[in-house]
Amino acid sequence: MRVLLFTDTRSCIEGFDALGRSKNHSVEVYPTGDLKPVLEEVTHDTFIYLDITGLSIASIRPRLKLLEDSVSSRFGVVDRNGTLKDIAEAFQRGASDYIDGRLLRKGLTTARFGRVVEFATSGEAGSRQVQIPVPAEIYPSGSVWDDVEPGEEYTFQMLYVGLDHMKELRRKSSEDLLRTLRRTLQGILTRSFAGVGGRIWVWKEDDGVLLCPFDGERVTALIPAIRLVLNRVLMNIEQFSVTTPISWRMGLHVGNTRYEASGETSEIVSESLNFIFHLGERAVRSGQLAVTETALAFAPDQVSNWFLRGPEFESVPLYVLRDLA
Amino acid sequence: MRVKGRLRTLAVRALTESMEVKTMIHVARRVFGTYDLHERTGFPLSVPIPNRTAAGQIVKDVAETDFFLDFVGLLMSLERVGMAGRKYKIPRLNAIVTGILDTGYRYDSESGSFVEDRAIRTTRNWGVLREGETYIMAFLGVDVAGNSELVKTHGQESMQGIYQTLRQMVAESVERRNGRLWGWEGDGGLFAFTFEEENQRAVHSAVEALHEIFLYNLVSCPLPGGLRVRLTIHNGPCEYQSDGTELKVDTVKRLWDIDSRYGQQDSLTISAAVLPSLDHSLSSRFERIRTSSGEGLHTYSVRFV
Repeated sequence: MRVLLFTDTRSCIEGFDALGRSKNHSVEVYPTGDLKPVLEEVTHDTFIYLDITGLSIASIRPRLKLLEDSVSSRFGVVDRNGTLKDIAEAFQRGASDYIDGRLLRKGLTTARFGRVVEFATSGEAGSRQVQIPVPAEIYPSGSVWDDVEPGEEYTFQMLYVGLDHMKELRRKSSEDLLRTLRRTLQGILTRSFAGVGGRIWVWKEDDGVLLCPFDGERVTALIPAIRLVLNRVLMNIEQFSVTTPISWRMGLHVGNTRYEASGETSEIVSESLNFIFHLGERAVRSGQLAVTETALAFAPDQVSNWFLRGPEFESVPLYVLRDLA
Repeated sequence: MRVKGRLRTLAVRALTESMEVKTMIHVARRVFGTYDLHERTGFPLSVPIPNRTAAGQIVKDVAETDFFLDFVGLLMSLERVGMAGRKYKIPRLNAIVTGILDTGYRYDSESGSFVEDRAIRTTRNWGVLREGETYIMAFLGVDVAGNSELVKTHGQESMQGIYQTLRQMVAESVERRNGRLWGWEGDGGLFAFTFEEENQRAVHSAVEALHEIFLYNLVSCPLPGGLRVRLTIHNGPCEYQSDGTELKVDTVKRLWDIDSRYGQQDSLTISAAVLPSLDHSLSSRFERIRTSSGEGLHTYSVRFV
């Protein structure tokens, strides 16, 4: 596992020597001031240690909050001088380990770290209680499109899909190839979501939003979306047939909008539609599937167990599908 | 394949109008290996065989010995690639090909042969494998872990329904890639792939099937612990027999041996010869299995970090 150690003291780094020498783990050291920017890049297979030695209680809390909200959310606290008077607070904020001065001097062993990781990951599957923030009003659009009328407001499952790395692809590829890639992705989406009534509703150049009808009870678009993540490598080989790996990011939300036929959507004013585009463009990492808490609340429990709490976006809690190994 | 009179007539005319008898004999030998036109037609060696008679005899022979599709595939290659440095314009070839497509076949440009159109018909030999001939094939074995215990706990009837679902899930992935179900018994079965890129198609099918089983366990499987399945792929020679006795060939025996000794639940295990055929983006997701004999088995499973 990749271990990121945020510390400003050399003696702390020595405590992690054994872990750094292990074949299965790597330790990267950063100054504590880099916590925020580095956290923006971390993936799920990362464990973070924050050394709070020398920090004031007032500056520790915001850092713990950052860790609590990070994509990884697996972290431990190094507290050589016993600064943290209420150790339980760290665990209440999601920490999985606490290393005091005595333990640090002995050094962190791989066996102990293995137990820490086990403890951290066991808490991820099944233990999270999802609150249910639903749209203020739900206007079910049904399980099929039969009853959906243009001009009326409905609650839909909204799936943002965007091609990743387009800057680089544009630089390296002809316009013809780009058109083919977009068409291929749209074909994949149409086929993948046909079973749950998914329709590409708005499509800009490299991204767009699919609508699936929502019956007010179940989010049905989640399984096809997970399938797209699982099968990405196969799709690259069998369907995209280009040497550059093609990936796409997805964001799923349940929200309200007035419905108009595809191609006649330019005058629609919908907070949910804006939100899902902003979510996809700004908050979802390449290749990632992110789901708002609103949408996840309507998913079966056993599915939501595969998602980790991510950062909030525009005050809406997000969950992200764990990365494939 | 039963070749209708009209197709035979078209083929005879195509052959007559496109080449001399000497070339026809070369074509027939490419199809059959050896071919004696004089012996077949009864003409003495000293008497030249008329064009039309030669073409008629060759078409009759390829049609009656079930080589008609190979013969037409060869004519297509003569037109496109040529033979002995010369390309041949074959009149009426389009009409012949259309006639074959109408009977439920499609042309597989990768293998350069006609195979069944899955949308119209699916038979276990793709409509082209011949009895007693040996082909290089890839096999995908499907095996449920702990079947006896599952049947004891949940009853034969419930498990049959679940196994039927499993069979459908795997078969869909396999048939989409032109593989065939060659045998299914209770809790597992065997799927076959041949022609070009059989290893890749077998692995792609198995990986997709594994993903489907993962999703099935996630949302629909009624078993509390989910359905635990082992998938195994091995390739090698196989003599085709329409009665199913080829299920006992060494290649298949070896597959079940790998399954029982090294197969892991929720995983796909592939033998050494299969891995190099894969695209790096996929092969890099396989992990080597440590075996005492160092036989180079690799495994893939759905794992999240």
